[in-house]
Amino acid sequence: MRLEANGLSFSYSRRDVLSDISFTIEDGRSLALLGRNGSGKTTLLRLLLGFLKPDEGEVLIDGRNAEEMTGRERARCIAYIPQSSSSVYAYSVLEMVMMGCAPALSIFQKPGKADREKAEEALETLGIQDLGRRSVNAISGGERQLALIARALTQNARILLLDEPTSSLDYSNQLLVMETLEKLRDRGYSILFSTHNPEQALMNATDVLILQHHRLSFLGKPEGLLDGEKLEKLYGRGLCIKRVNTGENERIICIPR
Amino acid sequence: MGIWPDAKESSLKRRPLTIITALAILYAAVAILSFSIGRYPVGPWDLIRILLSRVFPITPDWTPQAESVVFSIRLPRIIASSLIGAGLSLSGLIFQIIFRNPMVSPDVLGTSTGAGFGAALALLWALPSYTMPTAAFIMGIAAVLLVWLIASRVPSNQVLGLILGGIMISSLFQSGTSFIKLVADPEDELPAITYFLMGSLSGAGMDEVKILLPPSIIAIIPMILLSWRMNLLSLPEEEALSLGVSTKLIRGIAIASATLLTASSVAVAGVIGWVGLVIPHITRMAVGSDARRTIPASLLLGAAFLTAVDTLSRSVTYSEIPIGILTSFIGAPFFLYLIVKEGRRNEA
Repeated sequence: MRLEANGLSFSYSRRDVLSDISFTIEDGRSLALLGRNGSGKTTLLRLLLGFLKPDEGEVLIDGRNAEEMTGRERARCIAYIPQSSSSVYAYSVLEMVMMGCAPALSIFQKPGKADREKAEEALETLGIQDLGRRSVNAISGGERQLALIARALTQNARILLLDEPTSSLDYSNQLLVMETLEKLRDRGYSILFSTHNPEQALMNATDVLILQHHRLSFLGKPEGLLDGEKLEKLYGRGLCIKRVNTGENERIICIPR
Repeated sequence: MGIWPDAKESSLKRRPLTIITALAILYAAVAILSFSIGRYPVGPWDLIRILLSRVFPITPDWTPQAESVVFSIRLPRIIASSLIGAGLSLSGLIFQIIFRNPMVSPDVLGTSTGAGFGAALALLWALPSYTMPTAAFIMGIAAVLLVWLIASRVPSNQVLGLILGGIMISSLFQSGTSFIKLVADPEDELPAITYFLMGSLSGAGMDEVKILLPPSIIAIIPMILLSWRMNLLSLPEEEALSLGVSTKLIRGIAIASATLLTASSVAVAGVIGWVGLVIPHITRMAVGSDARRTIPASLLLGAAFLTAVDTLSRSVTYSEIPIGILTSFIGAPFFLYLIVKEGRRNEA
């Protein structure tokens, strides 16, 4: 499924938050969204999800203007995966994942056996089928993030938007979540994730978008950032960006000078 | 860990359907016991035959007084205490879900005090008794909307906004009620208002049941139908919206239902505190957090609890103790016990 942003601009109390942002995500591609605090990353996600209305520009889902779609229609195309945080009420993992059935059900409908199976299948896809009966508050942050991704898969949406999916996770869980996103991308999902870690953008995404001063300052493949100039300008300090052969594959790493 | 880690893994592994069936049996047992207990005791065998005599041709060998006590006094009172107990518990559960905060209840959010003010106003102006639920409902919903408005002005800490807003609005309506008492006729209106606000089911007859029944049905049925969707309202707003949920519509129906339940109970029995806070907590501990189970479970447990407390209130001492006093005496220490127990469990 194709997600397209065309000249998106948004201002809040006459203050520009985003200005003229355009990009496209296709099937099997993942776009990493980089930018410093307050650069408009969250606003961009909220515009794409339809929580905010752009002052100018439009969001197209498979060529169709997202504003013309109902909430349920949009939810069948785009899934939002928030940062992993504990829930006020301790639902079981399976109950939480089954909430992803909501867009497919009418207001008084409750999920049935088929929906339960779909949720169990999503848990299995992510390798967390053993967690189904556990409380969402009794599992690790990484497992919870995977459960939120499983909910998105149950939602049947082919575009996944993730807001800093690894921000509160330990290193091992960060790797687990990023590897999961790579696998989903290889299965044809279109993925957009925001991150504060430039290495994730360089290692795990097929494309990178940099927001700076509320504008798009870079859009292209991670290799385009190898000279370090764009990232140094973004973070205001010297960086060393290198290709490293791990023995199994080649990775791009980013360390401060 | 959540704000209130109410459902541990162990409780999620239990069989919720078995627990709900057990709660239904508990409620039936409490109701039968409540029929038998009182200043005019009716034996269980007599009771069963008196009740069945309305359906089957049984030759009466009991006194007419026994029949009158069962049908004219205890039946309406048990129906009223069940409806009010179920209604207040569901109302508390709904508020806790939609405000994503297990510490809120109709009392904390000012709904009860608002509805109490409306009912006191109706008593002061000697309005016909059927207008009292309307007055209670209007003031109850005004209280919730005001608290909501205040909380939305504190977006950085909505829980704080809710609690502070609730305290403020409660205090405002409390002052209003005090003013009504001040200007009320001390001979008849003042004692009536004061006793009414303490919360009591002593005047509950078939007329009161007729006042309670329609709003209870109107409020409970949509909540049962929407029970699964209610779970989605407990997610952060943007998550719920991203799942295509019409949050405004469902939240509107839920607030109207919860307020209707609280207001109708206040209109009939005055302010009965703690039920709306304590029962949903116990329910979640027993059946987990899924509203498909917490809604029926809290209806049953609330009905059983208030019927039991009402039976105590009319049988422990010679003169009846207002039920609102008893629910506070039982509810407050029990709630403290729950908090301490949960705190210890989290430390372990």
